[in-house]
Amino acid sequence: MGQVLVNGIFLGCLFAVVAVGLTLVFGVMEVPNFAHSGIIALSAYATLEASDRGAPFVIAALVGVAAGGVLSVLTEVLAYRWVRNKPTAAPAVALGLLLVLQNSALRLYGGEGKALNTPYQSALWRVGGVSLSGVKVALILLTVVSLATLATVLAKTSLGRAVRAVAQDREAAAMLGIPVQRQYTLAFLIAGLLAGVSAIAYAPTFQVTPYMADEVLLSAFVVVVLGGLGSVWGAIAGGLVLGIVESLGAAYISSSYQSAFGFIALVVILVARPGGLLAPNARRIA
Amino acid sequence: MTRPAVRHGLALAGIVIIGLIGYRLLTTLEGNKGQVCILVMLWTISTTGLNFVQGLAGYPSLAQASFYGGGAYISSLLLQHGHHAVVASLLGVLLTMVGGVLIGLVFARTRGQYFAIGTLFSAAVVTLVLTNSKGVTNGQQGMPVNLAFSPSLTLKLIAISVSAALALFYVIARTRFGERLLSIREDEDLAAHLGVPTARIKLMALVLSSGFGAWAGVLLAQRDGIIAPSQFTFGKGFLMFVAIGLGGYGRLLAPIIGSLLVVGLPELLDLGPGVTQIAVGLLFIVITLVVPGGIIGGLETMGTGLRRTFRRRSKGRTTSTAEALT
Repeated sequence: MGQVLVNGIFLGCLFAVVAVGLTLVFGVMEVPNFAHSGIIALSAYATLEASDRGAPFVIAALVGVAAGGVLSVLTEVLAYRWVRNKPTAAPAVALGLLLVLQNSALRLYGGEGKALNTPYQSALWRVGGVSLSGVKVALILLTVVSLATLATVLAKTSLGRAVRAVAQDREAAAMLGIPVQRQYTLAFLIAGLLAGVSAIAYAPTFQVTPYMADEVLLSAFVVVVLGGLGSVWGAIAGGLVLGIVESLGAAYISSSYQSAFGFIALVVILVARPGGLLAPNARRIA
Repeated sequence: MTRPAVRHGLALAGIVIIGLIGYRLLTTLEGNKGQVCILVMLWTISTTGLNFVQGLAGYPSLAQASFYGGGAYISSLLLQHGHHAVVASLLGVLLTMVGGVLIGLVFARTRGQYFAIGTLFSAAVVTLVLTNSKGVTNGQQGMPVNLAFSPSLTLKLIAISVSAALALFYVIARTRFGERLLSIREDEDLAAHLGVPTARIKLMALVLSSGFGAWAGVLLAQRDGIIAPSQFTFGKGFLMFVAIGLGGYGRLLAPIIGSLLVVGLPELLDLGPGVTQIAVGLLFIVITLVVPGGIIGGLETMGTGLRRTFRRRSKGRTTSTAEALT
């Protein structure tokens, strides 16, 4: 039981990092960013590339995070920016970007899985009957640090206040003189950096392939719906809940259907509340 | 082309001709090209169904490939258990449509992005089930199919189905149901206020699309003699969505244009892994940004533009300045 909970928290942290990026972009710009999984994959490849060229792991990890940020901002500048007044076109652009990003990864690095080696991957602690691998500890630490930083930025700085204002009401924020365009770019930058963090955090447990993040992305979308589109704290809480639900299902029912348990959660929520749980701006979603 | 009867007659004749051309290509092309031609035609049938939900109603349904797979797997499993060919194919379509009803009951009430996420996740679960229930579907390896139709009959059915699917779309798009779908695309809130039962209409469109997809799947299984989950992943569902977007939302011929670009192009231009997909992705983004009506919509706008300039020239300068003033 303890082990299942730890696995659940591990999964939950992963979902939370991915989902916070998605929900931030959704809250500010109303884009379901399917391309996020392509950015995660390319960040992982960037880390791999850097460490293959002899960079120490910390530098390689930073390269990956930076690559995620740059790519994410590029998708906003080159594509999403031009559909911001046409919400129906957003899923189409997101899918087009996903095709481009994933197939670029396929073209550059091939389809077979590659392993990302980290200095902490052989570490293993035993606490009671629960085993904790270095990769899991690193993921949980990375999540806590990056999300705590993000929460502080959003809550305490004027930059964060501007992002939240745009997420709450775009028109009113623009009227009050907030440079809305800059907040879009900023939201994508933060999402991209978080994509980089999640790539480094979980690439060691899975292999690096162009499609490595597809399943995580699906679960992260459930988390976003669970926590309310556009709500950062909702995404963190939802991530942990879903992670624990999925790992309980995997442990006690069937591990090959792990992500289907997330689907059941999604169905239950949407049957009860077609507008999503806690959706602060559900009325604007058309 | 003033009288509607003449216009409809011409359109339906054109649809029959498309089927005949398709049959001609199916019977003459060989090897890889023949295979690509069959895939393009099957995708045309399947995406014509998607054209109701995505094209007319403007709703991003990402589960079309799962309906395609549903038809293929259910009909093949029934054949394996010794059912008659006709029973197996009909039940394959009907049971898939029941699946469409279930997905629709949950997600048809949701709006926009939630609908996309919901259908995407449904597709992912279908792939998961097909891959993991190894005892029934033989998992990733794929399962062999008992061929119930002769190869020549299958080819005929494919060609007839392309025409029938397009004709059905042409007719249904012009009924009250079709107009209600369009009203949802234009303004869902307004449509609901005017008394359109939007959730029920979306549900019906989704079920209709699942029927088209399932029938294409039945034909695919009969043609290939083997089916595998990789043919029906949510990635393929994405691509069907992309196909309709490229061709032009709600346009009659969008499924043909889209299937040619998405399935035909990557197979015929062998540029190495991923390159054509990158090209399709870029083209899709550019079309979404620049010509929201897709390729057919773009051609229509160009056509009317040309016609207008031509008319203006023939009428002379005075009218054109008058037009510019008004």
